[in-house]
Amino acid sequence: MQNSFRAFFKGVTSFAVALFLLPAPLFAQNKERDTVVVRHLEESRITSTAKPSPTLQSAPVQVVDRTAIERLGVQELHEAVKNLAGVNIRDYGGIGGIKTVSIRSLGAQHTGVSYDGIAVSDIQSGQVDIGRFSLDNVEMITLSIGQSDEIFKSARMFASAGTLNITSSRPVFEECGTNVTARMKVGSFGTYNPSLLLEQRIGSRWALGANADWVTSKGDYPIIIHDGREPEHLLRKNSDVNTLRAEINLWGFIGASGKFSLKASGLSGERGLPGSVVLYNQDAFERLWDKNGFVQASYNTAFGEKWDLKGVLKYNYAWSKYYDESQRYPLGFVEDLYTQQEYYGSIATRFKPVKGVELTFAQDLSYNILDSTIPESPFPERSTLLTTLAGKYQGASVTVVASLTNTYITEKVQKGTPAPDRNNLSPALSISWKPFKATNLRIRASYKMGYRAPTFNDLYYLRVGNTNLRPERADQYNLGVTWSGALGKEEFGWLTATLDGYYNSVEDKIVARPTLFIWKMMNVGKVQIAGADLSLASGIHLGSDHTLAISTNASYQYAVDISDPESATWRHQIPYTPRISGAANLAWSNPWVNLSYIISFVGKKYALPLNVERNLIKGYAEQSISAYRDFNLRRVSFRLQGEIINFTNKMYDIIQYYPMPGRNFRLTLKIKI
Amino acid sequence: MKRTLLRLAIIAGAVVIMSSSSCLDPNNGKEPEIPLVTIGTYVLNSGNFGSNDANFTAYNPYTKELNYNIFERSNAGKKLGDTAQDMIAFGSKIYIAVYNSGVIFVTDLEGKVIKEIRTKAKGSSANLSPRYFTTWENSVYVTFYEGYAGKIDTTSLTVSALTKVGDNPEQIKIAGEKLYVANSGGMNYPNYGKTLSVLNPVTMDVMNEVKVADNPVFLESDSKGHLYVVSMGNYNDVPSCLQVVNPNNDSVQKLDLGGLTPSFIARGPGNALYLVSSSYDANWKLIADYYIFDTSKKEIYGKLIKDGTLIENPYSLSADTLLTLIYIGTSDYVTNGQMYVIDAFGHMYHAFDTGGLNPITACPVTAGSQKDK
Repeated sequence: MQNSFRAFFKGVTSFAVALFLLPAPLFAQNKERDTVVVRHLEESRITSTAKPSPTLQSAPVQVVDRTAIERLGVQELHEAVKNLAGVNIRDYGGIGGIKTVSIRSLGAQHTGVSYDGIAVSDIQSGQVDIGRFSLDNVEMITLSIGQSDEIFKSARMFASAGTLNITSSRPVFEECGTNVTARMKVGSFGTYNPSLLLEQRIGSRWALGANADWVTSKGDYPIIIHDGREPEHLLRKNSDVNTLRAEINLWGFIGASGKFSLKASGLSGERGLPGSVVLYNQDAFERLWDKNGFVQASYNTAFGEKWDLKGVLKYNYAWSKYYDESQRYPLGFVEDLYTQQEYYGSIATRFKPVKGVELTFAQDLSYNILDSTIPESPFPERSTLLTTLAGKYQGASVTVVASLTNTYITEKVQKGTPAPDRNNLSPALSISWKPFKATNLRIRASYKMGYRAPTFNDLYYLRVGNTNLRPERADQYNLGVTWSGALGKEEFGWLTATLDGYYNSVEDKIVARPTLFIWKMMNVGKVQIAGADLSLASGIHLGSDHTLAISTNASYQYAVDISDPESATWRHQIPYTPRISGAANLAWSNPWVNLSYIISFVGKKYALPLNVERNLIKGYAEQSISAYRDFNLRRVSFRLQGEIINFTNKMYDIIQYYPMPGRNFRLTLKIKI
Repeated sequence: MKRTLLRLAIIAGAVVIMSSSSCLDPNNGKEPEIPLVTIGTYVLNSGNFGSNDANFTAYNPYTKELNYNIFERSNAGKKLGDTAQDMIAFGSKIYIAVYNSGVIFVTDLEGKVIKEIRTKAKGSSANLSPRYFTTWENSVYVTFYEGYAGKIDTTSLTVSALTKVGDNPEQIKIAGEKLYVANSGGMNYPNYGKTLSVLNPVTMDVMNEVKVADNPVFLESDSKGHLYVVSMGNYNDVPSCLQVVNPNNDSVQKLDLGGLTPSFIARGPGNALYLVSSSYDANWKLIADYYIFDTSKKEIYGKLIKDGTLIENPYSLSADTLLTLIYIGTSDYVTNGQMYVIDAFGHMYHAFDTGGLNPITACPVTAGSQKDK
């Protein structure tokens, strides 16, 4: 089994480039960013910001924009994502601990992650570690469950059961045309994170951005281990991180309507993998090195009013090295190298025959190769052809979105037998209806059938892989109601509320099954998920300079194994899925020091399929507070921000025996010229 | 468990008294040889790798009573650790190898910890990972997956000698007064080990290396002092096989099992060697059957189970030769293991929930042994 643990740490996420939703006022003059509550949540005002309104969507969409990120004081992507409804984050703890996102109990492999509109892929493990992204230059995070209403996008973005979209910031210039932003973050457990962002305007139609950041952390946070009798106070060993990231962006306008962007990105990192806490044995020597680079270009143009087109080309290279030291290995250590490469291209067109109607067609082609030093690696290659046809009607009171995505996969191997070709058709349909003119109440219903193809690990990993696997199928049904509007007088405040009930079923779940002496990947499981997500957000103006922003969400997930009525786990909650979870945050903006408070709550869950006491992971509530203040000295602006994370020092595990850090501190100084 | 063990000890004591009074001191004033009696059986659950959920259960084969979580209950809640691998009763003590925790617990017969043995190789700070035990004379022997065989002094409860053997040794057994270690090389796939190390059990010096088929894992001795070796092959195109080693000259003979693919073996009474044959169908479903091998004729004697009991997903095979009970542990790796107890006639005597994941051995606890007071 150790080998398949190794397998998890493969492959690397790659970033992708800006493509769609380039805001029209790309290099507009500096508009003072509104740090108080955003008012564009009302239905009519969302066009220029390209920020989707959660209440208008025909399927659940949640947004955390820059304003909210700053207001909440969150500094890591996963800290922002865990404030969303219907999401479970698997977090192995610490800065280097892998963090993956699962939507509504479907599993992280059903979550598509995109960076600036383009899918980030990991052909080997099928899941993306969101801990790799810096939140510093993120403008907006959007989580869509099922099919989103944005249909002018690559076919890949239609193929997942849900998507987490990360949109990076674009430069906003003042007169001088040059921006320099420097940041220094210092945190507990020997964490230092300096970063630098340079932005330069080139003429009136082009801009260049370059940023680099370095994260280093000892990560040796205190943990408490119970052997059942006496708690033992230790430090988490081998949890250090050292990562350098750099990115160059070029944006420009070509001709009357063409928008071009180019992104080159690189990452190089090393981290210790502390492993699970093993009673009586603190040895941990596993390490992981990553090198990841990609180049990507996109072009977006319109032909008249009715037709537009966009294209993307991308090359991604991801290398990783896993090392472990133990005399259990014949050589005293083991070192595995993995190299993934991806060539990707996408063309999407949109036709708008009449107002309110959009038809889109997208064609993607990707080619992936995996090279590894694992014995008997078959060196698999995969070609994927994704085709989507989608249509949308958006009227005053009704929105209807339909899409059909076809996935065709063919594989080659240098040794052994490749998996047979696969073809799957996934339809999706969603409707949003505003039944009353007078109120912003909307009712929405949606269906999506999704597949996740077996990953290279599922198919080909040493002894464990099984080329007979079928894709895992996920059906999603959602029925919800949304409302947004003013609280009393419009100047006083606003409220948005969404309530969704859903039913998901997962068939042919791909699971590693032990069979006496070896493990095999198999299509065995069947899971039924019934749940509800509630979210409320409100902003209240208290006088002219004071604003309170409140947002809260709660989720219920009944996610049970229905594979076999004879089994002892029949109708037991699937592992790592709490029945109840929720988050609430409160931010007070004022002329002195902006303050925020976040609490996230995760109920009890089980580490293994059998819901018994010994597999129980206790529920927990984690609370954090944040404070910041902006200063200006001539043309230089400063921000000083401090956070106390997990200030009650709650000791908890998200993954069993991967203890999370207790109380810790973070201080950030940002200087912008 | 305490009460049960005590009660059993009284029964055992009565048996001892009866037997010693029936023959008029045959030992001529020496301490009497007390016949061994099974007073109970511990069932060791390996647990899930990484979950620190190993435990063991007491089973009374006379009353069929079960008592779960003995270790935690005898040690004020202390946990046994991660991935228990083997357990052996020797004299008045129990030895438990907890592989991933790198510790050998020595407990009394009630499971109360007397000593935690951590072993380090020269020049290394890491604890060695204990794998399997065997006993001989006054010593307990243990393999460590890092490539060592150790001798445990049962008085001082320390590893008094540590010898480098092959890669990833699994089972260890005495045959013909020689100590054999199966060097599986399991972490070096696809280049599995192909040898047994032969050690002098007194000095722990390596005497010889015996070449066997790929991936030797399971060892058992027979009544004539021959050693049976199951080499597991590569779980792919090299099938497992049963071999016999003659300790006189360390010659190896591969045995014809008529196409069966052996895995677990356990010594029964007389010439019986119990054997599990396991293979996979096209969908990787495990197909298992259970046999008795005749060590005098060197051939399969017949099926072990004669009453039609169907036992799927075997995970371990153990035998209590005193009560002639055979223990077949089964696991689906998700729910609690099941233990099937088969009697001497091949009929199911009892089946029970083992109270934990992956029942890896059933360890009969005996009374009446003279060794190690």
